[in-house]
Parts: sequence; C-alpha cells; structure tokens
Amino acid sequence: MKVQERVRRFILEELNWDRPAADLTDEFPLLESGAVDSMGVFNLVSFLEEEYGVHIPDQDLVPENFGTIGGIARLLDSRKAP
Amino acid sequence: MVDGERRLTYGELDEQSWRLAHLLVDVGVKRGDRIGIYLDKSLEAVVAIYGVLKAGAAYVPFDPRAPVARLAYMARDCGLSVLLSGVDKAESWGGLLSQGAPLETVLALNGEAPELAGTRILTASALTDRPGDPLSVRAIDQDLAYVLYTSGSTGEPKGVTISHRSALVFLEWAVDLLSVGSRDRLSSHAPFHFDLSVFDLFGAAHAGASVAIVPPETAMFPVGIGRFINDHQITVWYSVPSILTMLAVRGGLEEGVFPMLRTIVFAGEVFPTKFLRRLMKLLPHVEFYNWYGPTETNVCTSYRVPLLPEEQDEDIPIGSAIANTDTFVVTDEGRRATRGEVGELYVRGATVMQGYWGDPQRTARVLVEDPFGGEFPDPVYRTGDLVREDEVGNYRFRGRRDAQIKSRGYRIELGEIETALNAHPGVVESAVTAVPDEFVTNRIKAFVVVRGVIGKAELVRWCADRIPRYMIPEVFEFVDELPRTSTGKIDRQALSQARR
Repeated sequence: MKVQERVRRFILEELNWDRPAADLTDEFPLLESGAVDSMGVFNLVSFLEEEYGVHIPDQDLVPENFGTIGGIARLLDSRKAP
Repeated sequence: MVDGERRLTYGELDEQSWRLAHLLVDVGVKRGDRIGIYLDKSLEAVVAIYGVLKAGAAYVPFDPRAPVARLAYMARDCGLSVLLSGVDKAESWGGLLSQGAPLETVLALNGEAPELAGTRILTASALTDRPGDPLSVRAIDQDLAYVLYTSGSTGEPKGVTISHRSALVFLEWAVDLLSVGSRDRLSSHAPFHFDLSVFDLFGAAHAGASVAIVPPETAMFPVGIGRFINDHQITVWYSVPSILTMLAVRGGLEEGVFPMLRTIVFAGEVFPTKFLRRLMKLLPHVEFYNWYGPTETNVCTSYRVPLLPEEQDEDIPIGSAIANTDTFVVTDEGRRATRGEVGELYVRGATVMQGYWGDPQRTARVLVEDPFGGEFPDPVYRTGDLVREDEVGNYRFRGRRDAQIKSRGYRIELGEIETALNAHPGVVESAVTAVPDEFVTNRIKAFVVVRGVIGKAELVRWCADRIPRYMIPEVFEFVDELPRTSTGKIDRQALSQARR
C-alpha cells in the first residue's frame, strides 16, 4: 500500500476523524483545520516509526512536514532514502 | 503583548480596551453582566478581555474549537446577551442563536461581518469614535471577573465564577514568589478558557512584563516550542506538564539551552518524575515549580522542585498552601486527617470561587461551611482530590473521590462523555474509562453496547458535535454487555481490569 494510503487509513481510523472521509485528500490541511491535534501528531509519529522502521529526528517534527498527508509522505521518503 | 509579528504596548492595550468598555456600556452592559468572548487566541482577544473587565462585567471565554452546541449551552446557562467575536466565527453565530443563545449584540472585532436576523451586529469601526480614556465604573474586589466552564459529570459543563479578589490574591502571591519584573518575558501557552492563562495575562500586566502568545501550531511540536522560547527569549514558562514531557523527550534539546529561561511552572496534572528529571538535567539553570489547584480555587498549593535523585520514581508533591489560603485534609469520617493519613483536600480563603453559575445545588455539594470553623464559619471548597500530608508538610496527590480524570492537563468528567454517547439512538449503554499513560496522564477508552451496525467513525462524529475533541475516546470497544456488580451497577473495576 502506498504511504499516503496507509497514513490516510491511520488518520481515519485512529485519530478520531470527524469529517467526511472524502475530505481527507493528500493536500487537506491537517493542522490548520484542527483535525489533527498535538496528541494526534504524537500518535502519528509513533505509528510512522513503528510501521516503517525509521527514526524521525526531533528536528523534523515541524508543521511543514506534518501539515498534509503529502508532506508526511515526502518526509518518510527522505528518511527511507539510503 | 506579542502575537507573532504583531505587538501591542500596555499603553495601546489600555486605550483600546477603554474604547471597547465605552462601547459595551453604550450598548447597555452593566456591572455583573457576563460577556462571551469567541475569538481565537490573539491580541483582539486580549483587548476584549480587558474591555469587558473595564466595563465592570465578567468575561466568559469560549473554547474556539468546541462544538457550537456546547457553546450555546454556556451562552444560555449564564445569559450572554453580548458576544465579542470575529468574522472568522460568523458562520457559527447562527447556530448559537438557533440553539437558544440569548444574544442581542455581536461585536466582530476583526473585519466586516454579515447580517444576522434579530441581532445587532457591530464591527470594530464602532470603536473608533469611542473615547480611549477611563470610564467611571464602580467595581469592588468581590465583583465577578470571569466565568470558566469546566466538564460536568451530569453531561453539562458548569460555570466556575471567579471574583477579582480571587484572581488578585493568587496573582499577587505568584508575581511575588517568582519575582516577576518588567524585564521578564512570559509565555502564554494555555488557551484563555483555561485558568492557567490568568497568570500569563494578568501576572505579566501586574509586573509590567511582556508576554508572548504561543501560536497553536507551534505548540503542537516540541521543536517549535524550543524555537519559540529561544526566539522570544522567554524567561518564565507556564504550561501543563504534557507539553514539557514532549519537550524533554522530543525537543532536540542540548544541555544548557535557553540561557534566558529562569523559571518553569507547571500545573494541571502530575508530571511524571522521570521526564521532569530529564528536563531539569537539560536545564540546570532553571527553577521548577509545581502548582496545584482546581479551577474553583485558582492555585492553592505550590511546590518548588528540588534536584531529583536518580532513584526517585515517586510522584513529586503538590506542595503546601499559598499565601492567604488555608488547606486541610478531612477523612471519610469527617475528622481532620493526621499527618500521613489519606483524606480529601479542603481549601479555605480568597482564591475560592463564588459558586457554579446558576446552579446552587451543585455549588452546595462542593462549597460547604467550614466544619472546623467555630463561630463564623467560612465557605470552604471540597476539591474531591485525595491527598496525604508527608513528613515535611507537603501534600501528595493520591487520586480522586469520583470519576474525574486528567488528560494532557484537561479536566474531564467521564460521566459527561457517557452522557454524550448514551444520547446516540443506537447506543444501549456505555462506560468510559481512563487508561493511565506515561505521556498524557490518561487516555480515554469507551466500552459501548450498541444495537444495529454502528462503528467508531459514527460515534466519533456524534461526539464531535457535543463534546470537545480532547474528550472524545481514543479507543472504542464494542461489547455485548457491560459487567455488573451484585447491586446492578456497572462494574468499573472489572472494566479497568479487562483493559490490561
């Protein structure tokens, strides 16, 4: 499954998504909209680290990387690259 | 006051809030009226708060992210006829009105606002011709300053009423304890509907210090918080512990960062000792304080955290009573607990609330006559918190008498969540439990019996229309029936065993 799809599924199922599922596009503003809160970010980081066996450095935990599903996928790609 | 790139001097704040106070008096606001503030955390919200106080009224800060149904309940409950808001909230005004909010005037402090049938809409342009000099309002220390709504076990939030005197007694003690001065720079992390903000806003003003609003998006990322403290050269930081835990664990801090930072105060929940120790090691030049107090008492005890030895894993104490406040412990049998004995913490003094707005019954359950008061007994507040006094006179928190929990510093009545769930037509019954968590104190889990096909997504959406996001359970377990005790009550002990 594509990273975007797995992250989407995690947000829908685990982060108390309370809007129509179709709204959750790759570019939906996760933070600005309030759909994902600080607890959500924390859970999301744990999920990504466990699911993909990567370590996301503290310095990468910034709004630019977690603002959208697309941003999260790009962050993960950069961590997985050799 | 600093909000991102924007700055407001105390002179400007003074003038702008007098203009607002004049306008409020002109639209009929009188001493003791409650005025709603429905704005994101911003300089406008600060002007609104001061304007309301200067008009002799009490401010009622809304959680800007809370469901409209909950805000409408608050507006009905304390009779809000005037709302200070912004155009970005305009689409919710209709919902407030249709759900019975008695609003007569809505003032949009930013931009042009749409029409709203039956309600007078004013914009910031109405302020320009109002004078920026003082009004003569007769207010005394016992007058109401603000009403903060907090989770209620019966399903409806309750309005905690705090007087100027209550806030001032706390602030004078706090500013003195921390020696806050005009060269300090305070953080404003807590939202204005959360009582930690009282210190940030008015403590800074009291001392002539500056205060910088932590942008919500920054606050979500530990590294962002570190950058904020650095960029704004914060000297005194105040927040709930979970934010500081994140900063210690994932803030990317190196020992000795933030040389300007001198004091960290935390309150609202237990700070896990291992994370507190880690943060104290990273910031050896900073002094740490643990403050304790339900919204109903502002802050009532304080503890200066000493160096924590490696082997210590016990929770730190909540400390002892602050100035002009008396605290004591009462056993189940109604006598004063001896040192070491567990009992309920009672609070006496000026910082105690006046009562729950419009709810003498709930007030009478917690605000009782001092059982040891002699001839002229004061009202004392029963916190519902179980504590014991240790050998050096500090209180140690031992739990709750009831189903109130803390999560990320938020105070949550599990009963309010159950009421929301049980209102769903497909829910037969539910029981909500707290699962202890090392980072956020508790996570919330719901056991639900449903008829028909109802999934988590449906219940999350249902809850989101009724209770704040932080109260929505993270985990839903669908069960055929809830375990019962021999007397037919839901067996909560069995449920908390089941989750392990």
